[in-house]
Amino acid sequence: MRCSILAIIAILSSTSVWSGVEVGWIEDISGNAADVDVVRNGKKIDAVRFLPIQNGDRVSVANNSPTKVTVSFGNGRNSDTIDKSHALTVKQTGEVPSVATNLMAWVVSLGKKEPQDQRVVMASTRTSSDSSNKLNIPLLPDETTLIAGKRPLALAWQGGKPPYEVTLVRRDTREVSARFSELNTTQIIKDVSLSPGVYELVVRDSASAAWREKVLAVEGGAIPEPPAELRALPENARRLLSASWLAGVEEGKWALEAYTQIALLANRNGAEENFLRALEAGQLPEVK
Amino acid sequence: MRLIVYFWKRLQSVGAVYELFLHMPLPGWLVAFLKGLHFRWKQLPLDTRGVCIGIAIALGMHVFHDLDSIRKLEDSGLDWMIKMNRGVPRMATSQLPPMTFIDIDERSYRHWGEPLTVPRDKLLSLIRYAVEGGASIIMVDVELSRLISPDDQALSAYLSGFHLASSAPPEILLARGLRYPLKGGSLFEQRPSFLDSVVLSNPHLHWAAPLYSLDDDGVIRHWRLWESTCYTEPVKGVRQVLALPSFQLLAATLLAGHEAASTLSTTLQAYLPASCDPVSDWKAHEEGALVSVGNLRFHARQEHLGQRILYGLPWHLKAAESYPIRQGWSESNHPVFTIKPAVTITEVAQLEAHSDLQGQVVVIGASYADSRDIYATPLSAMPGSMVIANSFFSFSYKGELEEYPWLKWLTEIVLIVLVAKVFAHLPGLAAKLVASALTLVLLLPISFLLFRSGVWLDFAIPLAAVEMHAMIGGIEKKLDQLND
Repeated sequence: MRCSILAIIAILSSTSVWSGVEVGWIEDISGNAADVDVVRNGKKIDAVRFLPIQNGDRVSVANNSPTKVTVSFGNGRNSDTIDKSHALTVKQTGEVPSVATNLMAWVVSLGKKEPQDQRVVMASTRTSSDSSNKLNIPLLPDETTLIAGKRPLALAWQGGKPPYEVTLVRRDTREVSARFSELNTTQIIKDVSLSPGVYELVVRDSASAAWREKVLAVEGGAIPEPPAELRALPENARRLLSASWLAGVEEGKWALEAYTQIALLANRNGAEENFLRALEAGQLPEVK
Repeated sequence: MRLIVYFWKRLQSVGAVYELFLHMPLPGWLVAFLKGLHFRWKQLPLDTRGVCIGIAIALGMHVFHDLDSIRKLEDSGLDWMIKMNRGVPRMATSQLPPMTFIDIDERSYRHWGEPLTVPRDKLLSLIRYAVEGGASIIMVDVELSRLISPDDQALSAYLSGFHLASSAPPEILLARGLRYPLKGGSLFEQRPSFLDSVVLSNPHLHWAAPLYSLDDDGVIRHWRLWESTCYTEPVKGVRQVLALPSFQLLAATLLAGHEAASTLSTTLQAYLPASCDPVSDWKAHEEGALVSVGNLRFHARQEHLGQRILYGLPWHLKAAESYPIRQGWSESNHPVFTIKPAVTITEVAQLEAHSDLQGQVVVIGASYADSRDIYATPLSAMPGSMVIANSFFSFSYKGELEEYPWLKWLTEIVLIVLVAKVFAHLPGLAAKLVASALTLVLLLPISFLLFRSGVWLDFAIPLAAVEMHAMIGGIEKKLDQLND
């Protein structure tokens, strides 16, 4: 009997102290985040909401600042508020459960009236309007701008139900520059006449959904020139990098122009195809 | 507690019949037959009678071992054992990498504006974080069948090329959407996904089955290591049968290397039915053959005990508790399991290098209430991703739960003799109490010790056997009264 009890109790029990391990996060900063110092291994880190906090981090607030920081620990169960009068060096420890502690907890639970794991559930189903496959044109950011004149134009849209009807109409005169029906979600219009002014591009699908975008037509001189260093590159690299640069500048307003430049190429390579797909998905290159 | 309640309920139902027998008047022919039987029985020495009763009970238990009621008795014992081993550091000394659960929790869900489904741009951020953090295996427990928004294209593009940026890219396991067959077939159907072509073209992407068996009391106790599924090719409409390994099987195999993973795929093909249509002669899967892939061994047919998930990782630790430390993993002590809210990744623009995921197994999943992905387990209610994490640890640590038949028989023989002695020399209630205590004292420590090595020695069924022994004692007493 004694041996059996000893055998049960002999099963492990230990305490853990973690260092350099995430144990919480900044739950809230009330006041000026610049007044909060988070120091990790002697290096200062910018304090932002939800910043992970590790064991060993020191969190403090500058003297004379009214800012308060709340740090959550234990999966959000505990928290500590730090202000100018109270800095915190994080040191979370915990006892690793053992068979002995589990047994003890079980014995204690036998005397409890309330069930341990009872929880409330929602006995209902969920619903939404069908937003999947919704008609949209991510290729066109705000203030989309094109060069006026008689010119080709490439377009792409997503979702909706084919066939589509596409119309490009001048806002003030209601003059139609292009109108066509299309089964696919990409189209190259070989000949469009645009005079400087404001146009409206409308794509309608057969389910009566419509997407409208404002498009500006401007004189040719308004288009920004690519950086001079691109001119020295081989033809393939130059045209793709120039188009990427054009798509990224001025918050993407020239993205459709850049898209058209590459879409018109007869033999596009893989990188150029990827560029087109990214623009179609609304991903603009970053230009510094 | 459940174990006690279970025993009490069983005793109530069996006890009612037993009480009826003890108190009802019996017909004359039955009394005469029982008297004759009783006379012969009484000629035997007390100890011998006890041993005979014990052997009869043991044989009965073995013959009827597959009965649902006896299995449930065994399940109750195992549930209790799992509870007593909750969070204990048995995995800390294993060679398994630590695990991180990137949890789309209630806080993250609310901060993201309570979206109906997990936003794909956020999911992409979480996957990217795990990939750049150097995880070895990433299990994405989020269904990815339907196109929802333009963000899907970005996710698709990232998954196509994530492996090109590293010499040792991680393996990403994606939850396959599965649906019940409509036309009476027995195979789950794979739901087509916008990522099908991406997974086909990238050797570091894999589909995995997130299926588990739910018992009739609503508790997940058993895994399903792999599925025979039906896949309909979307363009030509051709239907084919495909093996789909579970998260835990695939992850454990991938940890053993790419070669093992391809062996797994070809090995499982041998156990598939010939077509998606319901067939009556599909035997291969039913024969219970042992499948070997690298160091892993498991049964093609899923055995009841072998399928048990040995939960060790609780979802919620109590205050002042922590997960065990993985010995010798990195310079700093690292817990075997970490839960990281998704919002601490997606909402922090300038995260510093997060190399603490280096080599780890990462699970990305949801625990917010509206996800409806929370299940009862022997430990407590936990999100589906925690069930996957526990299954992975359980399977990778010791594989299928084993039983040693020789040990079972040995303990049964010892117990039969001891319990017979006790019932021979003590009166009814005292004998029952002493025999029960003796059974627990002998079996529990061995059971605890073996459990840590993935071996199960049942103590619940022997306890029930003691109860039956006491009942038979009561019947003997009734027969004595008849003779008097």
